[in-house]
Amino acid sequence: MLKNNPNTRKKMQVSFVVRDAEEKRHKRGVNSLQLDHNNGRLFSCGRDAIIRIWNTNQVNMDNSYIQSLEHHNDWVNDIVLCCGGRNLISASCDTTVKVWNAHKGFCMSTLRTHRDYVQALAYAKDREQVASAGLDKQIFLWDVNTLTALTASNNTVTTSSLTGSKHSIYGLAINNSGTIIASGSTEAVIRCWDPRTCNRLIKLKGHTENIKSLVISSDGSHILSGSSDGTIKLWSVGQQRCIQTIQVHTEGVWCLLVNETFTHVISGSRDKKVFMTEIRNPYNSVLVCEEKAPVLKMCYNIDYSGIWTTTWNSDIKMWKLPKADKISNQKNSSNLSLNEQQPVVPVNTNEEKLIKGGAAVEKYVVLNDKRFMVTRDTDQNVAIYDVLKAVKVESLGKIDFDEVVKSRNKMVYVPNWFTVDLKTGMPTIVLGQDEVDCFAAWVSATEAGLGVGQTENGSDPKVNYGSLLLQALLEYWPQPMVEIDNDIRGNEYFKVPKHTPILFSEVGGRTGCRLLVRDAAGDTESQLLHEAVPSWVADVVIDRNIPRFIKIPFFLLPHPLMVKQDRMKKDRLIANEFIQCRKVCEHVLDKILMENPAPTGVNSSQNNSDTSEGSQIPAEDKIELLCNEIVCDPSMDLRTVKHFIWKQSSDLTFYYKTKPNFS
Amino acid sequence: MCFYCFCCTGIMDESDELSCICSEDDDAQKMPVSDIISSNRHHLSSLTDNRNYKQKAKHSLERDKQSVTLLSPQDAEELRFFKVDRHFWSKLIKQKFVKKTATATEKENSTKRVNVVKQSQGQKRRITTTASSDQRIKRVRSDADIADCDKMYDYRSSSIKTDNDYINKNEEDEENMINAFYQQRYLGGSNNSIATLCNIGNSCYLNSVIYTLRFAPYFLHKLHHLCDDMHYVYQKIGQNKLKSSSLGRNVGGLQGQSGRSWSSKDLASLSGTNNSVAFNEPGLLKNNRQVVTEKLHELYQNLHRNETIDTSDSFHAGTFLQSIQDVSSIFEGNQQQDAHELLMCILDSIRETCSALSKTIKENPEILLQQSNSTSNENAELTSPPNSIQNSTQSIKSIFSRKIKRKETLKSKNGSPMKEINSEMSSIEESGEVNNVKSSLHSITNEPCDSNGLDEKEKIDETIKRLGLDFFTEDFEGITLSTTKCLTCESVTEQKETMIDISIPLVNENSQPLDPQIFFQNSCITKEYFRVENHYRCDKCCGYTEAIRSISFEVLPRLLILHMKRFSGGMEKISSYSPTPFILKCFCNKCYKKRDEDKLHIYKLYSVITHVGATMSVGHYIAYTCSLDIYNEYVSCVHDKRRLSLSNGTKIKSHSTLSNSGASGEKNSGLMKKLIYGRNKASSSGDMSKSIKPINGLSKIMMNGIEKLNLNSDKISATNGTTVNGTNNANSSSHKAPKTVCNSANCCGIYVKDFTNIVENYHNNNNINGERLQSENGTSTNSNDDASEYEPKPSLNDLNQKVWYMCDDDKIKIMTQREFEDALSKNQKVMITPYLLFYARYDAKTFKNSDYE
Repeated sequence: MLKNNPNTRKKMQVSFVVRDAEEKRHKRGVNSLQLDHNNGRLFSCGRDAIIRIWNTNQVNMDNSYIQSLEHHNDWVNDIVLCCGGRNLISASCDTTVKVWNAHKGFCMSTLRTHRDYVQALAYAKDREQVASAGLDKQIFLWDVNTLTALTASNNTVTTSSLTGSKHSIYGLAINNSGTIIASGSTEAVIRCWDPRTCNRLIKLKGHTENIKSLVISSDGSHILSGSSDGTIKLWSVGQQRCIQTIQVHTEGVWCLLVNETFTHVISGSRDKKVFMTEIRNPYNSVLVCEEKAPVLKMCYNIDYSGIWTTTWNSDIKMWKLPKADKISNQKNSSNLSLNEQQPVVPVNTNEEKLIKGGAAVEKYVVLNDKRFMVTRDTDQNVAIYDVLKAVKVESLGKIDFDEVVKSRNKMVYVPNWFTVDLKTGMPTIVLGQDEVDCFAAWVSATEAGLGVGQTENGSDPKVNYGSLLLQALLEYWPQPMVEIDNDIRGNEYFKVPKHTPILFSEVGGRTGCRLLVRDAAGDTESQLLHEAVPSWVADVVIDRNIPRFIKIPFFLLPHPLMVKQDRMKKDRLIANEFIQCRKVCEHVLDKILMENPAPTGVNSSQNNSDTSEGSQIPAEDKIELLCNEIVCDPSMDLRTVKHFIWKQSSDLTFYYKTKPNFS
Repeated sequence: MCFYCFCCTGIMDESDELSCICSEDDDAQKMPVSDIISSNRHHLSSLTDNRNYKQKAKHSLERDKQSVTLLSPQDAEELRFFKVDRHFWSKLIKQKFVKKTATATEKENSTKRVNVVKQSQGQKRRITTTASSDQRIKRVRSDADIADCDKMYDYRSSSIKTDNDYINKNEEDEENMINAFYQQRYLGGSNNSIATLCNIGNSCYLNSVIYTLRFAPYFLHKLHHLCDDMHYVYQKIGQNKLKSSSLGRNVGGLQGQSGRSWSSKDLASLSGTNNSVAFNEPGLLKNNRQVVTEKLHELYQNLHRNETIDTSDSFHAGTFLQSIQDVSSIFEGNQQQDAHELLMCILDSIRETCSALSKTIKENPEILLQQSNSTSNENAELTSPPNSIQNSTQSIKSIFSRKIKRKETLKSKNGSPMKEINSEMSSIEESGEVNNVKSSLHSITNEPCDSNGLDEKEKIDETIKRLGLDFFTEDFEGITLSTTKCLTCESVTEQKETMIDISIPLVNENSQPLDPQIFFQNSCITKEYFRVENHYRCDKCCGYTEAIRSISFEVLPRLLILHMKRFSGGMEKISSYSPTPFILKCFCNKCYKKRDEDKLHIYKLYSVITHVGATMSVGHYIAYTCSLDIYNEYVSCVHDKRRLSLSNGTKIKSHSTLSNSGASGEKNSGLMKKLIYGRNKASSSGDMSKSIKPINGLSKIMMNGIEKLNLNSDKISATNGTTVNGTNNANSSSHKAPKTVCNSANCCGIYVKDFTNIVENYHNNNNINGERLQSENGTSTNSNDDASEYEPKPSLNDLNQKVWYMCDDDKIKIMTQREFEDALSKNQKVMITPYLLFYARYDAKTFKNSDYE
């Protein structure tokens, strides 16, 4: 609750999503559905943070994709279509509620009132009122007409909140006339309010676990609830008690759908089954279909002859519904099957229509070079990502994941500078949470494969991954203070895809700003960036300061086998951690061994400076460095030696030795 | 400070004390004055056993005498007010009485002192009487009731009177009665039933834990076998290494039977030798943890000894503490420590010992083979030298012949300690022998089958299990099941962990009182939400979600320890009331959902360690213990039956079987009937032997007495208490199926013999012989009844309940269940704040039957 206290302002972190320009398929489970019955357009929101619009009138569902609504950056948990299909309101784990223009598909405004995941929405059609509730135990009531009238200048909105819930709210419902609102929470109690007065009405106790799904009859006299305890209960508001318990599912009931006349309920459950049950006579129950994953949401199709269902998987399917009178005719048979535990045969074995979903990345390993990442998706396809360039570089198909990791890992050590989050099914790269972490990775440009053509004098420039990436991400951000003549945009090595979304958010908290790489030039975005970009990012992007080198202390001692035990003093040296061992060899040759032979001192030091130019015998051919009795490869850098050979937290210690052929 | 030094402090000035002690005990110099005073007191009675110190004993006797007379009526009035806080008791006493008595005793007691000196030959008896007066003083102190006090005063004055008269004439019945009564009511005099531990500098935390473990059902017994097995295994390994065979090793348990006097000093030297024995075992050095286990066992051995020899000495647990300090440095110095931490340290040590022993056996499987062979051999070749152990296979025939030989030797052997064995007894002995032979035959025929049938490794595992080497796991370890459910995907992850104790959180302010059962159940079976800032990372959801983690118990340990979190975080103590149910309904996963009457297990309270004081750093621990099942725990020891580990053990076993049948022979059955009858009648006067089978326990006590009387030997031999007959059929066929009792009861078990003492007292005081016993017994039981009439409360009903021992360092006081309940109740002025609760699990069905007899 102290998040907004300016004294304890949270650190900001930068992250971006590696994805295609257009993601036409849901990547992970689809949390909610809304159908515009006027035109058959289906809105689906999913765990990939994208709301998609489908044309269900298409004969070939492969062409049903219309549009994506992208602005959330965490799971979208619920959507409601209001104003006769003109507006869409969405609730997300990024703690925001967003108002969309459903026809044109853009985000009109963002409501940041909630402090935790917003889990559920409810819509009172007759009053154009929307309620949102979430894990912060709060319920807010919004007037849709006010929300849609919000503009950049008129951006204040008053809301009434319903308080009293002591637990996180997972289910919410309001009747069409907006006279009663009910919430379901982990408290396992249904709490009801009057949305007009915001007064608490009643509490309904009876479930034993979380209540995730609620439906209120139009007149507000009855409430139907689905709970994680596996039961569906019908409550009489007037009597304040449960008047029917429907037990058709073996696991938690996650979604409910009731017909217009409130006689039949369609329930979807964690047990992957969808049942249609007569509310007043639960024995009249049919298994509509059996999904391949827990059912998350259902909605009627355009002519109410079937339902669209979504599950943990990314597919959206339509199933035919049995006729309501047919269910009552089946009374005897279903009765029998319930009693005798016979396997219930679903009415449908195959779906009517299918909107195919995509595969989500579910597993990753960042390779040792801290640049490439091996991933595997839910279809078992293995791919390679280049984090630095924010692209997928290789698709390897269905091959052994561990094998790929093993074969691609090199013996090199680079410090971590980012983390990966797969919650949305697309790799989200979170850069280190402050400058130290983010700028930890210094590598040689040639080694990183970046410096081609750049090394005109044979020198090997060092680059910082974090710095390069930040420069590339904010390439289009106009830098008002910088004069045009030295306007260096991005970095000199590479660019990232322009569609890449960049997020600035509080560490472990809420998103401050989301934009695409290409949009940074826009006026509003540019303004937003100036507020959101933390100073440590501005430092490298605008001021183009070079991040600090990271030094590593080490000891350099003569090996016991050395003939000349000339220097017994234990030297503690400090060098940049990406220094290669050959540099240390040169140091030994120049600064330690050449001290004693006084007459040749000048010459040999000159010789050696020659050797370092590569003309004569290089230092590493004369000097051998040993760490933990292992000879270090001259091209190995210090941090790699420390990590793979030294393997201790204490200071790295080298022993030098002249090679036999050089005395 | 101990209660008993009250008398000393009353009389002596401290410089006098110092000189007195320093001459005989070097250790005394290191002790603080208060300790010296108490230790002087301890020396007092130990010295009296030793005739060499006649002079000194006389001197101390005088002091004792003074202490008796010191209690003039005015003093009694004073004492009445010392009821508030027992912790500050000794201090107050000291302050008040050093002055008072210094003057008063000079005048009043000069004559009596002379009397005592005259009566030098009656030393022993004097000791008993003075001690009992001593106890009466305590009684006055601890009892809050004024009426009680007056009563006490009556008792005391009468007893003092009789004390005086006693010099010239035989003790009166009344005095005897009172003696008997108080010996039952108050332990700690020379007829102390429970050995005590002295405070060696803030060591109340140590003492309370030692007392508690001592009363933990079956703990002593299993500890004994653990140490025994460890000893054996290490010895065997050593032998294997040296190829030497010195089997005739003395078992620790036998050393206590020599009838020697065990002063603190003696014990120190003894533990020293034991120590060297342990470390001299070639090849294997025991680690610190194992030493702790061993020392704990030694400590209990010593306590047992103190009980068997009737000493009022408080034992000095220094060597044990030393071993603890070797394991964990936090216990170094004389600081106050957390009893819970110590308990965990000790339990850790025992666990490590168990696992180390199992490991050693697994690594050296030949030990087991040898063991099974050697045991059969030992069984057979009691008299033959043990060198022949290597010859593993013996034909049954030869064993049989040896058996006969053994029987003969046994007879002749037993002839010496048991002088009065008549022919009837020897015939019973025969039958016992036959039984023995049969059983050993059985075991021999069984062994080869086992070894053939089972794979070597399996066999070892099986044997380890059979030997109960993993008793720690069974007794102290439970399994916690923590179930985490993601609220988004509702997938459940389970995690199992072993647990030893459960911490019960307490809130400072007194909220509305909960039913104790629900309070503990809710405190143990908890639900925790991961939410707000503390989201749970769900692998299924690939992100942070809300989750519920619920903690439940798949298995609860047999010996359940509940730790009240009175010291959370800072040093401040939460001293709010917490309930202490005597019966705790089981809440393991098997029982949790069941209705009360369907629950499989039930937990009975056997000990409470309370913390007195305001903060963690300043305070005092007192243990309240009760023996739930002492008398049954040594009966039919699987361990002893299946594995006759050492030759000594075998000897004892046969020995005990023999004497058992002797004691329970027809000759005595009539007497026993009488005794049982009398006992039942007299049970109102503080029944200490309440157990699941009270009669069973009773018979054991009686047998102790009977044997002592019969044998008339001061040597408390191995036969004592080793055998409990199925007294249920004591009247009809007691010798038919004699239950064997593990000899470890005589090594480190609790030796409660209150009843014996009463009988013995009679015997001593009136110089009655075996023939008169029967009639005397009648009077004794009668007088017990009388005694209870003297005492208006506690009522008969109370005394029928369990008896609790309040173990406060070297002071042990008996409480009835009701008194203890009162003390624990919320409405007390000075509320007891339980810190650690100890429960033992019982089968719910058995419990129901036994609870109400």
